Amino acid sequence: MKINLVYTVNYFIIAPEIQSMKKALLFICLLNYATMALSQITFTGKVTDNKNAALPGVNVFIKGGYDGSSSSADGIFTFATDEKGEVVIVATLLGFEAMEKKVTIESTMVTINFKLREKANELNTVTISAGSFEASDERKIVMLRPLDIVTTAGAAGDINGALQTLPGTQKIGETEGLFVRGGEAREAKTFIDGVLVDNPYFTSVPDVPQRGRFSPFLFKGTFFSTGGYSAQYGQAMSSALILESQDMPKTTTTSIGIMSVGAGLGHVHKFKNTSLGANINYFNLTPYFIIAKQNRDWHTTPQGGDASITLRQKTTKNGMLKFFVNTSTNKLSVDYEDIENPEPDARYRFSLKNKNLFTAASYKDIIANKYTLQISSAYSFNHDDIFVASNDIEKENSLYQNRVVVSRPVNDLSVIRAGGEYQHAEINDRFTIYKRTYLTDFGAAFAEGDIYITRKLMSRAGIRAERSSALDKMNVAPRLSLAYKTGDYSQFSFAYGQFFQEPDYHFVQQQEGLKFEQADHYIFNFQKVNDNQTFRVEGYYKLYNNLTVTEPGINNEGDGYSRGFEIFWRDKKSLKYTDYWVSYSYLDTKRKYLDFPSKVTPSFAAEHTVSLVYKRWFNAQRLSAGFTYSFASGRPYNNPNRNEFMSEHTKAFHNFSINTSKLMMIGQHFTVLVFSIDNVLGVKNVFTYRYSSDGMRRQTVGPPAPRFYFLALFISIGEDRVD
Amino acid sequence: MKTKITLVLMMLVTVLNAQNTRMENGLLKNIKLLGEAESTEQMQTTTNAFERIAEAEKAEWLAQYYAGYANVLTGMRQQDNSKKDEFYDRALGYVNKADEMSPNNSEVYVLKSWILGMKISIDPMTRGQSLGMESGMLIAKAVELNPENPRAYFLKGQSALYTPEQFGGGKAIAQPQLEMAIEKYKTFKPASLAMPSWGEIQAKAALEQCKKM
Repeated sequence: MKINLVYTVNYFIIAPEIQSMKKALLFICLLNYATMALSQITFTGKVTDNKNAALPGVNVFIKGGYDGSSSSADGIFTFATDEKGEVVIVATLLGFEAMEKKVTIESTMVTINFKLREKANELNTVTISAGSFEASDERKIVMLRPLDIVTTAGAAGDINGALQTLPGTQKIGETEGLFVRGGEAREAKTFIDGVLVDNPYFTSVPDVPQRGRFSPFLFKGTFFSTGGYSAQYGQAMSSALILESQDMPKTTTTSIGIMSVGAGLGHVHKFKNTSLGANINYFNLTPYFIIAKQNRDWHTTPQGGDASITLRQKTTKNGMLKFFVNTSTNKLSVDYEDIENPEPDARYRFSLKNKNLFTAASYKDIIANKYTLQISSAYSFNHDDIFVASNDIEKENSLYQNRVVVSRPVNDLSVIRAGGEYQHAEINDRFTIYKRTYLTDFGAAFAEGDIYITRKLMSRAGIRAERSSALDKMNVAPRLSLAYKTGDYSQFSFAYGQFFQEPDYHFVQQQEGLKFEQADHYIFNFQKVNDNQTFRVEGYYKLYNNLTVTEPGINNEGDGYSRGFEIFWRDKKSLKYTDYWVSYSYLDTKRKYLDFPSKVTPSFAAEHTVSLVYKRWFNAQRLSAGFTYSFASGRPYNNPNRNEFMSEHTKAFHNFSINTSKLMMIGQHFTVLVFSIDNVLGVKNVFTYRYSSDGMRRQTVGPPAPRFYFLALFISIGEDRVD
Repeated sequence: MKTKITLVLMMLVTVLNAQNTRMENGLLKNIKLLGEAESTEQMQTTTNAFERIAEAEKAEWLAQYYAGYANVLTGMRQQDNSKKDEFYDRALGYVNKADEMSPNNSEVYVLKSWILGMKISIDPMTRGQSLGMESGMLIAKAVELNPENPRAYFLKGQSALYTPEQFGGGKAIAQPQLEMAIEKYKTFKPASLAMPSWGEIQAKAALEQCKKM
């Protein structure tokens, strides 16, 4: 068919020149024959991998042409072509880097061999693993999926709740925050898209741990570091929780949540290169507290709400602008037993009204073909009105920050990056009629390189310099991680780093000349991870220096250490439809800080901590059910009637929580029904004891309720799903 | 002068035609091979051939379409889940190219929805909700773009067949879609021989299975 057409054309063109039809035909035939004879070139060769093993199924062909073939079981390929002169031969195979070779055809038989290199993937390439836990949908080998966070019993859909089932964290029930490897909650910081979140939790209430302000559904990736983290982050002596917000959604969706404690409504609209989302939530625990017994004497039950807007704008092929604003408000009041008052029924009231705003904009793009630029800017504001007894307290803090990071690949795996950040913080405190303002400017610059020496050996070396105007001091912190791959699934990793942090602003305000507090981390890690099983063991040593002490005067003479090891095992393979993980942490830590008279184990450190998380999927019922069992050995507390400081221990902590979620459809809409009970057995846990200043009376600090029940229905409505 | 221009134009048209015919012949030959392929190796060889056509015919959506189509079929034959995923991702790459060259093409939407469905089947718990919604949206769009496309109904029916009733699937939903697909196959005529025309046998098999359930 094709030949006929082409030759018809040839005939028309040639016709005016050649008179005779016969001559023309002869000419064409001759031409045809000659071309055929001259140009039939045979290509042959063998395709192997780096280890010279034959690769079958490789697609070998002439670039831009039809001619080519696949290699057979022995890696040999052969094909013929009519091409002439200089050609490019391409060899491609899934999972391998494509290879091109330029060939000038000089004989009728061309032999050409290819040695293909496997693409870098998570099996053949090492990654930094010391001190890190990652939850992501995008990477294959991670410890957690974002969904794990919401389906872990006892976590109650809170990011921090789920992180508390991982090794390195303490089960602290009397207050919020992450207590990591002998560090206090203030030593752990939260970052969203690179910027610091000043108030990641709802304002602290005595003996009632608060939830995080942000829903886990906002993030596509959660990176939790229990030490030795990158030079990109600072001002956290123990831990960095790095959250990466969702990209552009794929579809327009409306979501409705009806919970035993409130309700929420969200809508995200997808345009071609833009998405715009809005969310509102309202919570009020009044109906719930009527039904479920509480251990606290609530005067105003917690209530409040939040509203947020998210905008995503795709600016270029790789460019993305993200904007997020969240504002929330809540109020509550509780009556506490007044331990200082010898009257048996003496009480005082704590009440709180909070307003919070967090807004962040970030822009990321690839410029000049190889530089990735990320610019972020954020403003946050928090206002608390607190009454304690008859004292009126007001606290207002605002934080304005800018951040720039530029990175570029060095070869196909290695990356170098550098950047800087600037923060301006203002805190206004009022205690009755006494007012105080605290202002600080903070700047940091950092540079680091993820350098692959081979695919099996890499190092991340970085340096970070920081300056604080409030302290009028600067610091330079080196960071180093090394990782070596020992097998397809296993690797060793080591991390070292110095981590500085400003002392609490109260002390900086009161005392001039304070220094940065400092922690040095040394971490060894071994892990073996495949798709379905994870084994990880990590040992660490952490040295604290320049901790702030308050007795007799405020200075930086405190110090301390933490050391321990942790084991994590997760298995999704052995039992059908079952996923479980176990983590064990051993912690030995002592510190002298604040008003401690000697170096002791602080009250937020349990020697042994265990978590067992179990999830089972019931396929026929479309139901997932699971439990979490947590154990922590007794924690130290101080009994002022003893000579020795911090010498007594609480009894061990036990918690058994369950949850179930049932997936179903309401009409055409995905619906999840969630039910959970925290502390099913109603164990009367003791977190600590509080003594009156004269040591005569003692209060037991336990959980705010014997059990916590949660029932919720989440419906997601995809606009285009309906027929 | 005029005749010369006409001649040149004629030549151009025929050369272009020849080019198209060449692609069409290549596709037809490999569609046949794909249907006859028994081993995974044969599937791979045919997929390679489709990919060569797609690389040579960089501007032809149909060439990209078939490279994607062959990759899904080969992916389905893999034992290892991460290998399956690699094939499906490669298929998605081709189908996205086809979508760019031929926007609002019902056939392209069907194929993309199908690939996403296959990706979900690897890990329904984590992928079900997000990809499920996109896959459903694409197939709805495929019907909207061409209500006469039997493959859109076939895929709708088939995915309903493998989706539990609780998720809006099940026999009752699947059967009318499959019947509709078979109805549409009776009248469906591909615009040319190489245009997508697959699925009739599979649709009938799915309907049989549906009736047995």
